[in-house]
Amino acid sequence: MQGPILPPEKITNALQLLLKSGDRIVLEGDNQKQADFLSRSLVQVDPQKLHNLHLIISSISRPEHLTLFELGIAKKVDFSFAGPQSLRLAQLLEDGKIEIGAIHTYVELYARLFIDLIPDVVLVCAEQADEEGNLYTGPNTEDTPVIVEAAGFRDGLVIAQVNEIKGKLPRVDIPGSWVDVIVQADRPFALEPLFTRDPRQIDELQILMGMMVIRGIYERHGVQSLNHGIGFDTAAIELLLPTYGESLGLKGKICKHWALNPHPTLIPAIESGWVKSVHCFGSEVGMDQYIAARPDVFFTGKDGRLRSNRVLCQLAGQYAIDAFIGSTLQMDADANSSTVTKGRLAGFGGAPNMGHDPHGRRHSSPAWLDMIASPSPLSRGRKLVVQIVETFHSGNSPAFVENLDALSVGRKAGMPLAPVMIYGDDVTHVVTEEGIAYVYKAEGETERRRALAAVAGVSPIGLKAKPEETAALRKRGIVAYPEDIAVQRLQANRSLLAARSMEDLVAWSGGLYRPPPRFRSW
Amino acid sequence: MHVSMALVFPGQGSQIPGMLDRLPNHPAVLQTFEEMSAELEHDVRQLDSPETIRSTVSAQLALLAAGVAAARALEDEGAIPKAVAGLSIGAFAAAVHAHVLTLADGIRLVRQRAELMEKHSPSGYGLVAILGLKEDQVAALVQQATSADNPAYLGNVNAPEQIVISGSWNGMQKVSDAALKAGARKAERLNVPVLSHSPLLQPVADALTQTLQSIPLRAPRMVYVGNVTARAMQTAEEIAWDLASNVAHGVRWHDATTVLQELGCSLFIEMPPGHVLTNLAKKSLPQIRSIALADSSLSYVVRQAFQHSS
Repeated sequence: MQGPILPPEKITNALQLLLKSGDRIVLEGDNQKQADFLSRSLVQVDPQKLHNLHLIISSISRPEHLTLFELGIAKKVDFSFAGPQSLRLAQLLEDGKIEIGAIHTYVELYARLFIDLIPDVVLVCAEQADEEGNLYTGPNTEDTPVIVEAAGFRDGLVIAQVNEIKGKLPRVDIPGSWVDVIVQADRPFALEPLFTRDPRQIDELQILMGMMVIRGIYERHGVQSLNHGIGFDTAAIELLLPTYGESLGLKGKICKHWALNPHPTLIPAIESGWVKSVHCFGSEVGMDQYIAARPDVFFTGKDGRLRSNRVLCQLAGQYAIDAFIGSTLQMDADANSSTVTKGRLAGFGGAPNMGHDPHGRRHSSPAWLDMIASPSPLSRGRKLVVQIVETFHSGNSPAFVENLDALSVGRKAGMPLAPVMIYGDDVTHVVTEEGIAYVYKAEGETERRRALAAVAGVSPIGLKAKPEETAALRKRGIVAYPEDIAVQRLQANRSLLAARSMEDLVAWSGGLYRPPPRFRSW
Repeated sequence: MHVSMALVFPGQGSQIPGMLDRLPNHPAVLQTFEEMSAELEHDVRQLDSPETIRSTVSAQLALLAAGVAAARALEDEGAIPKAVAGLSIGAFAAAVHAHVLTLADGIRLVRQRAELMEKHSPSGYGLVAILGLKEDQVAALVQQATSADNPAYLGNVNAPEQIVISGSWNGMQKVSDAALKAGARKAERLNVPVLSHSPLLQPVADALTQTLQSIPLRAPRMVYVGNVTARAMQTAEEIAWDLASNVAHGVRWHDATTVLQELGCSLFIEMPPGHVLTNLAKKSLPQIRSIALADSSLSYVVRQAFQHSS
């Protein structure tokens, strides 16, 4: 070997020699980026020589991640998200071919790398390395620094695949003294555009709910800092700020600071002067040049390109924002929610972290204080945790149910906990196409349930709502229908979106945003 | 091998008269026809006349012929899939293409399967498709309606809200009525000549299991995703079990195609005839590019395969 640099053709052999059966391995399966040269090489080792690895991986995304278990190279897994492999994962569990340690929210998994899931070897990816092993992780830094730190300072081995090896790096993201082996990959590491949403697919229902959120929540409580869980519902909100938000005179008053991936649908709001800062978990394919042109908004290095950091951004999403908002598929009468589908094991990602109220928070902000619902001197504020739910999916399945599917999924999979995404006692607001339930204001469980039923439409739970009770709740401001907050249903159409297509987003960015091929229709 | 391409092979219901003539005019197709005609001891093209194709034996053999011939033509042009999956009878063409068994053995097996299915199809029994309810909803209704005299069983899950049930017409009528009350969009009888994917056909599965024991089998040269459990299979034994058993179980087609997607296949090519599977994929797995060879041309499909391999 030349310093830390390993010839690529030797990688499978090297993995076989350097890893020991039963080792705890972190494999960089981040959300957006994947160390796929290393994972594709790992599946080629001889299972007789290397087996029963304990895999710690935040995002089970690549086909070969689970092939490791089919072949017996790996046996146990601790992870956070498995959306792209959720059926195969459920099958492997059913067949007894995989042992799940636990499912975590992202930052929780990374925290355990320093406690009881300390890795023996970490397999990471970076854009470039120099001959000393310094790494440039660039816009998609994501989880790498934290993963490397966990191994680098506990006698663990750090193996990094890079797109290229250069003489001088644009900037050093990870020092070479933390890295043991560098190998140039056969092709650039895999990168998925997970946070791109085509405005063409936003419908009027989502626009109506977006208007209600801006008026009835962001304006009402003065939300200055926030995270949007990915989805068309939140993309609609982002595209309504420069238009609907502007008509309400809200620029400079709300939505200034974001813990958010670089959503292309945020471009119009940025260009219209709404956004003061965005800290990112990772980057987004196609956004590189636009980000580099807005160093006043994004976190960029001396090289001009984005520096993202998932763990820090998740920490920001936990303690430093006024509000989290995300959409969910299923909710029970107590506002517990989950996105599980029967027969699939998708895990959580970051939502449970963003979507909970951290009791350790001590600093206040107007929106946080506005959540105080009791006169007690020891009352404290709360993070706004907003759930968006359309009352019916695909015509027939109500979103509001008596029992979450998560209960039976958890039972069937032998999990100690049902895979609930967001717990009802953390939820402050529920938004449906019917209206907003300000559940944080409700007194007692019965009143909370009534507030929820009042916006649950014609689902079985919604049909329980009694008209007199709903009227009373509206009067007290615990439930608001669009007309109660001066939101005009008729105004909710696509012409209200600041951008209605991918081409519009490109135009807003001055041509700097370059949508990946699958989003380009021209 | 094209790491992003899967071949999917259609099942019974897709056959039409003259389907064999509509296959690409390619040496591999002609060669496959010659091979099959030799084994059948008659011209394979006789299988798809309007009269003969009405028999399930001819229909199933014709589907085997079309699937294998078209897949071989693609391979001749350099397009080899990462994975294969076939719906019901289509699974046999998939297995032959994966080199698990020879075409001659495939013919033997398919002929036996079809003949036994004819024999074991009692009158008063059939299939009903229910649209608009989820699998667990239909399963609950089946559970409530079934009885020893008038059984009903859960069958194929073709899409999240496209479920087939099997059983006696009376038993299934109960399920249909309940399904419509529960909000199903449609509950309609399927016009099929024989019963399939029903526990009532276990004797057929048992006979096929027996036959498979005497057939030399090989591990698949590409991933085969099974019908019954929707698992990605890499051994001859698992695939043999799936081939023998699918007639007595519902086909988990939606799960099987989901597994193809999770395995990294972003392009599905449906072998002729028809486009049933392509339509299902377009609706249930919209991120996948799905093309029916029957509606396209060999050269176009080959070009797509090469484009998707990067």
